[in-house]
Amino acid sequence: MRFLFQMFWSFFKIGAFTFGGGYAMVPLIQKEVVDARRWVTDEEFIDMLGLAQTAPGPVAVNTSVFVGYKKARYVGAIAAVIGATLPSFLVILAVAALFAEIRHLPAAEAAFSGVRPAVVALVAGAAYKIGRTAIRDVRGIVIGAVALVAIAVFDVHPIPVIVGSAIVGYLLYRKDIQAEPQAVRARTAGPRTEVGGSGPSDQVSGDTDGIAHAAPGAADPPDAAGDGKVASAE
Amino acid sequence: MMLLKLFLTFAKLGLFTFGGGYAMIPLIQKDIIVVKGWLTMKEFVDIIAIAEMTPGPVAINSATFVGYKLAGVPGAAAATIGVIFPSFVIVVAFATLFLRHKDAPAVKAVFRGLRPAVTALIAAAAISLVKASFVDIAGPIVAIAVLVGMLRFDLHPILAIVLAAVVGVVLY
Repeated sequence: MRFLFQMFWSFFKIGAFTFGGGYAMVPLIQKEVVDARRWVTDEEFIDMLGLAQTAPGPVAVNTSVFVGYKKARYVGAIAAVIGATLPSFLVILAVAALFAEIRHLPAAEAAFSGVRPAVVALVAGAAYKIGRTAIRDVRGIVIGAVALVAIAVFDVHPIPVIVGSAIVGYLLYRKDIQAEPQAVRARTAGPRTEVGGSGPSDQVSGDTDGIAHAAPGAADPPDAAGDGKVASAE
Repeated sequence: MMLLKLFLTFAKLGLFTFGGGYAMIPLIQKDIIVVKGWLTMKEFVDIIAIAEMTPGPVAINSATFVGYKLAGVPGAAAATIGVIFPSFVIVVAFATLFLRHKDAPAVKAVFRGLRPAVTALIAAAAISLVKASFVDIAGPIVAIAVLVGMLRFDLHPILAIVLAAVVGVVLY
């Protein structure tokens, strides 16, 4: 019960400070769910964002359902989604009553002029933090760069970008993953069985991942260079 | 009856809202304003403005507002639950499949390619926000201060938002 309340409360905070929709809440979710609570790992967080994009619905709602479901199945998902939506629900109910006055309050407009640039920085910072985990080698840089140009310059819809990169990932990384030793695959058993200690054990297995990944790369020089660098940077 | 109608109408909208709120705007326009006549165009524009100034995605804010206008607090609840319902079902299905198969080599390969693209999506979101957010020189200064605070000093995002709001009130 306490855990469910914690789940509710974490997403309530996220929901209360999600301004501007879309990705503005990514840094907040990252801080709360990955850094503070350790409910999901860095990698799961990124995967979740990818999945959230391919399902209908706002990213904040989708990630809350995902995290809640992962930690406590349906009750967890419901606690998280109520937490994520309740703040906007309450605010809109209040606003619906006094509507026109609030909108044109000079103080409110001034406050939002200050908040908007901060949101830009928060989102850029989230992209940087995610990139450190998400981009492991030259192939990752290329996928990221192509995706960025597609979205920012050519205004391509996110769904084809996500689906395309998934296909490219399958084709490019298929052989690497088959070459990785079993040790890497065993690591997921850790976070799923326990709740409290999943954080540190992820850290440890994260390191094993780096080492294990560099090892098969020795037979494949360009890979060994790229992955070794990432492992030591962590 | 009205509650069920609100739930079903917004569930249909929720099903087609990909990638955050704004994709939903033309859908709401057609369904809620033209077909159902539940909202005037002017009210809808105001909701978008409010959605930008209050927490929460446009989709949820619109649902709550329309539901409240038509049937009070129960209406707001019915419409809001409706708009979330499809995402809930689909994400639970995705999560089940993902958690079950995430260690399969093919799935790992797919996600290794997908992660850089997700990074790009978020970077692109930051870029697109620049245009609406930087109105004068104070904008980039606030942004750089927050970025440094976040990456160097582990500044909490909520604190950053609150501080920026205070700066906004002082400056503007």
